[in-house]
Amino acid sequence: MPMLTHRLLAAGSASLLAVGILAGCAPAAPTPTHTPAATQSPMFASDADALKAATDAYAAYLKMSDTIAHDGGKDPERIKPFVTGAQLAQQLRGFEVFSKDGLRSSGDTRFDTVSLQRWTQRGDGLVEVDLYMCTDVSDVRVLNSTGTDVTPGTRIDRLPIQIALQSQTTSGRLLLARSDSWSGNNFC
Amino acid sequence: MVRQQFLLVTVGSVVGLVAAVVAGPSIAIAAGGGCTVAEQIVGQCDPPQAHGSIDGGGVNIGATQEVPGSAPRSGDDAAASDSSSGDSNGTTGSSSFPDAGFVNIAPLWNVITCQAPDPCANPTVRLSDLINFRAPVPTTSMEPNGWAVVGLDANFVAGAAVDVQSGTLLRLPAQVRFTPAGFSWDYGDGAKRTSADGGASWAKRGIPEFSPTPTSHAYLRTGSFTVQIGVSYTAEYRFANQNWQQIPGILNMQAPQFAVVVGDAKTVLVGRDCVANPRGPGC
Repeated sequence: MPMLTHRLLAAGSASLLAVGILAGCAPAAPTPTHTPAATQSPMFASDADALKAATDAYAAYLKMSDTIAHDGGKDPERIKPFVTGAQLAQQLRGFEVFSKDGLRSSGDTRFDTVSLQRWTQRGDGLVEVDLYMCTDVSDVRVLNSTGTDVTPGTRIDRLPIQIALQSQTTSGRLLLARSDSWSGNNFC
Repeated sequence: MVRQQFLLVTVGSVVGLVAAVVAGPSIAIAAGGGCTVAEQIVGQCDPPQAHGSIDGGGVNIGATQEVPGSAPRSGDDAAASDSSSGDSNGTTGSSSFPDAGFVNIAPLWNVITCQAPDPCANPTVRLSDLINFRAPVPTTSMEPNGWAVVGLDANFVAGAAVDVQSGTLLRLPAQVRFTPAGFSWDYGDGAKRTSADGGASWAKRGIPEFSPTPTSHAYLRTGSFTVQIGVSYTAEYRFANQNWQQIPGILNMQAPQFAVVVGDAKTVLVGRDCVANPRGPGC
């Protein structure tokens, strides 16, 4: 087991790091970092483990999101097991356009160009894994109630995003906590 | 009528940004265009629409985005801050008056106004940003340098190239491309012309000195003349890595004026080289 020499990120250092991220650090070649707390056993044995766990969790979230979109936004609460409580409202709001406008989707969302930005394990047991990736909806069509393809012609099919997945070490399950468009150079 | 107002003012984009990130999901998250996959599918993740206009010696690119927000929580004051200001080209911003039901966020001043009976519950967040790009000033030169001879062509050259400048707008990349479209020449003695290019030196053209060129000028009298050379640019902008958009109009930039001293010259027959034999015939 590696020695746990780093302590919990203090608010100040986390802030500086966050400023660096949002100030335009290029995601092309991120250097993964992880900061396990001194009193916790690390949840992941390596950066590769963290990346795989986060990728699997996001794939599961995406599969359910597509399922709900295929169903025209019906029973959007099905997304709840895959996202944090704070993220749930935004997710439910995202499905509203399907149910409100009588739309449904066909095809599956894909993602690629995944890279680990960092993973952090806090003293209170919270684990967060941050990733960069490209979401790709080019195979997904939007259909109206008569089955007509109404996919917006100006839609951005490939979107660079940065996401955060969180979990309590006790549960071990990573949930989508944030998903933001990447504001730097388009790496997708 | 009882009117309860909550006025939260945040000054300092860096402080606001730090607080926004530490606070977790909040209004500030939406500033980066955060959206769900479902919203991406229906085209609601598209970046805000930007608009460009020529303003004096530069170009203004502005954008406004309205996104659903969440209610600010206690201690979240700074979380409403947008950090999109600040770049090497002199981003400008100003406070905006809050509209009912909206949270207005401008780069330097962030004002949230909410009214009873539903203070700040699910407001719409309006994000505004403006960035200004200055067009490059053309370079100028002439040969001979600073002087001319009556009746002989002096060659004037202006330099201006395609120039792409970058900045950020609503935390998304914004670029402006200036392309030289034409040059104007005012030789100071009443003669003026326009040309498609900035000219080139005699050497570059491979012609003898004092030869006429498309940008040369032969003064007809002695004196000191002030030369003014300008370049006209067309401008395009690109926002959020989307396609380039043409900005209507032409942008005129003037190079610094410079003086030309025009002298007279006479041709005489001399016996030998006047330098070697200054007292020779004709020297």
